[in-house]
Amino acid sequence: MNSHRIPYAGILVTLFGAAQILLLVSLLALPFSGGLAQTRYVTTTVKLDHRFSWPSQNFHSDAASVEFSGLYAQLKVTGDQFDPPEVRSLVRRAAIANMAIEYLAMFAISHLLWRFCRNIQKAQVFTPRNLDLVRLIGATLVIVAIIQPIVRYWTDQQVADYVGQHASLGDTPVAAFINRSWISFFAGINIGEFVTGLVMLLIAQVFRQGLRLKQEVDLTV
Amino acid sequence: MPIRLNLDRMLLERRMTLTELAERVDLTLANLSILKTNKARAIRFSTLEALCRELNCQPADLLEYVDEPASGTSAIPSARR
Repeated sequence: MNSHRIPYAGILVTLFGAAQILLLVSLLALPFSGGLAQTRYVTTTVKLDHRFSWPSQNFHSDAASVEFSGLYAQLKVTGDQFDPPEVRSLVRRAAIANMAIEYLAMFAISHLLWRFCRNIQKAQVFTPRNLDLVRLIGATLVIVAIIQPIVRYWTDQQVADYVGQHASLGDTPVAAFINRSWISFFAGINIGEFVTGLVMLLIAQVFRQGLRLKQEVDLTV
Repeated sequence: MPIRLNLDRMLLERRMTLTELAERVDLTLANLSILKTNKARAIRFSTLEALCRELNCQPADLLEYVDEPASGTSAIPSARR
């Protein structure tokens, strides 16, 4: 039996254990806090196409604060406590949806890493369980990298619909200028997260080889 | 596994128990059981040397090649020199 201690594994177990508790509490508190501080200044961005001139025309809107920024005439709708309730709840729902996905993903990954480090601490490195954990971590990262932009695109479009109906540029509703291009969806994919997930899946294959070699060694007398 | 270790036969001939052999060759009982039940994937020369020394026999006395067809019929006895 291999009883060699793995250094620093205990520290990582404690860190990931604390992280998952904090994330779980944050996730459960999300509907109540709604990231209260966040909704004051979190923004949902909808893109306007090239016909939208910047920034000379008059802009009328029900939202209490609408600002223009960027070279692409991005219209930002900011949730604020002085907003009409419709805008505030819309932005709040968008923020909660996006934050919930993020917290859930981080909780899942920290939980899987906590279990992985606990096994390492017991000097159980190349085991079928650890192989499954590494695969799960990789799959989670890949899936989250794809789901997050979908959720963000959906929430952005909801805000775009609202702004389109309630904001006008002179006599023209803003809806006429909103660009619902799919390019914004693909631009939202977190490439780093996606690639890290693929790398973890590759490392799982390495683990599989390691497991096979260990089994060979274990049965060599 | 086509290669078999006839440890139980040699133990019987030498009137030795598995526990006694384990102590003599400095192997755990668990590992020796793996050998005895033919679950081992490989054997080190040092282990084979220790077994032959303690059982006072040749490697050919311990190791046997058994041709096992798919239908699982009986083994072909090895030719002794």
